[in-house]
Amino acid sequence: MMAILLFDGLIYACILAVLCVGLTLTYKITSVPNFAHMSFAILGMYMALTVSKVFGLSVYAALPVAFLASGALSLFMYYGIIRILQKKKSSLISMIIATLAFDITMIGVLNIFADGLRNTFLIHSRDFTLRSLDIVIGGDGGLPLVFIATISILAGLALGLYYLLYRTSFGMSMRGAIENETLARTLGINTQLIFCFGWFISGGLAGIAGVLMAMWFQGDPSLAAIMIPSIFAGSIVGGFASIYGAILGGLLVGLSEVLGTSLLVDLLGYWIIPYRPVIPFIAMIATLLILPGGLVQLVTRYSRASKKKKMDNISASANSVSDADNADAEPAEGEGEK
Amino acid sequence: MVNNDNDALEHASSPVDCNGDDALRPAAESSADSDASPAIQIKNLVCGYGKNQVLHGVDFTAEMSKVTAIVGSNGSGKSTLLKSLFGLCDVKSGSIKALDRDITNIPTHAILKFGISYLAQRRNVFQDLTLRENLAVVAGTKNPAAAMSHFPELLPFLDRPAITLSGGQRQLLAMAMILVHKPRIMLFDEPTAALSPKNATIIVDKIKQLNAAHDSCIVLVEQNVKQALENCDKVYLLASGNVVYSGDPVTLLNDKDLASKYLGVQ
Repeated sequence: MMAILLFDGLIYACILAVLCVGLTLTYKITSVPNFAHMSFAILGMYMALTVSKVFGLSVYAALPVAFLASGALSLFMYYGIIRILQKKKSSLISMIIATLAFDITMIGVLNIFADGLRNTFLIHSRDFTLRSLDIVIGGDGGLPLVFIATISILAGLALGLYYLLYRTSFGMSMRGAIENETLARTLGINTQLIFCFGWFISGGLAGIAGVLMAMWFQGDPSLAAIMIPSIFAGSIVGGFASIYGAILGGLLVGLSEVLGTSLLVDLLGYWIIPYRPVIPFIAMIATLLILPGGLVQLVTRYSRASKKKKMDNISASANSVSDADNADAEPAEGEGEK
Repeated sequence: MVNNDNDALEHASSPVDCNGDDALRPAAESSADSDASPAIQIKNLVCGYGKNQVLHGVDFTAEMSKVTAIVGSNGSGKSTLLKSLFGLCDVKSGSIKALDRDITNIPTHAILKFGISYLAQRRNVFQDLTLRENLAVVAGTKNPAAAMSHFPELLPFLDRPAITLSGGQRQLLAMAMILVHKPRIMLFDEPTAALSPKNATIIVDKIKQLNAAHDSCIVLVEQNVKQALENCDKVYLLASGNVVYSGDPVTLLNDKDLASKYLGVQ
């Protein structure tokens, strides 16, 4: 029982972390909280169902398909809606409402798709799970492959993003473009290409998360509305401005949801289960009240203090002239932006 | 913390040595063609931001190997004129040519390919990135420090976030970044803004040295009229989005009416 609970908690937390990374990435790029983010994951879920049940392939074959399909949908949303609104200099509220409208539309489309699958291929396409199709390592009662896959994908994502953002010129340009788009353009960076790439990756990751969800949990278009608060909670707990904060926040909120609900059931009874979505809300509100910058704020504080100390030492040894005037030191502009 | 900004800037004022080093050399040496026609030619430019029209039919030319200054009061359209060259404002009518090619309405990120670089007035470095990363954005990751060959005073700070640098150091970094692409035309938007007078002089000297060493066209927008007029070959005086004077800087200074009315010089 405890093992299943831990599996549930870890798989859910890793999937949530992947979703939080995507949401945070698009927020950093466009400063628009995308309420349609979960619909990309639902599309991934239905790609998994289609690939495995209609085409009879391994459910893992759906991972690249879902990545491409959800990435393309995300790119369409950016270029077809967000970019147009930005060009028209629409307000943030308008853009948020546009993401909500896109989400509602997509859920409608996915419901039609689910009904189409059921009517055409006689597939159980609502509240479905593909758990029985997963490979179990070590036979009955062994380790399901989705457990390893989920953790590996999150770890690979963290390492891959680190390499991309901190070790490649493209990644540094991406960080630069996110910080100051105008400057990036004047330095010859095609910021639109970078932003499109960011949105594509964000959607693609959500698609992968959707496939993984279908392999352990129940899939349904209505899951979009249920899970979006948890994704926002994870991103906000992480800081909503840091990719690594999003991973931390997603893991924390995901584990709290599963393990916290289990603990409350033990303490209060089964009636508490429908109130599970309250947990991410509590985490979100507590973060905004106590630590508005999220977990990453704590890490930044610590790393800045240690970096400052290190740089002071470097400066002290590098300088023979110690009384340089600092009259022209500009105030730190843009600090904390985005 | 010990700040060696001044020290760094004083090193920066040393003459630029180009012998045997093409790091800062323009993309192509000046040709007979470029000598014959102006490096920049703007005709009847009307532009602004959205519905707000800032420039009302401006004509402007700048030659290679010369420093052209644009002066005028706040809101006269100096920075907008510079931005129009870089696609950073909405051009409603008129034409912009640079190095004999029409660059009107070319996307900003593509303009660099035409041999033009632009140093913005503010926020001209990526503050969250280290110096090394700032340079890697424009020079690639293989050896970004090589781009710093003419700014050795910044080398000790390569792994420091740009936000921790002083204003003068940031300005030097910004100059190093725009020089990576070996531009033939350099646009400087108030490069000495917010700097102390001493460091402002050092930056201006650096710009003059770049011009002398690289046979490039420099367009300089300056709020500090005296400094601009002392260091340019040609000046444009803008008022309310129109050119009210263009020509020799000494003549402008001697014109009591213009100097007192628009420049506050008695």
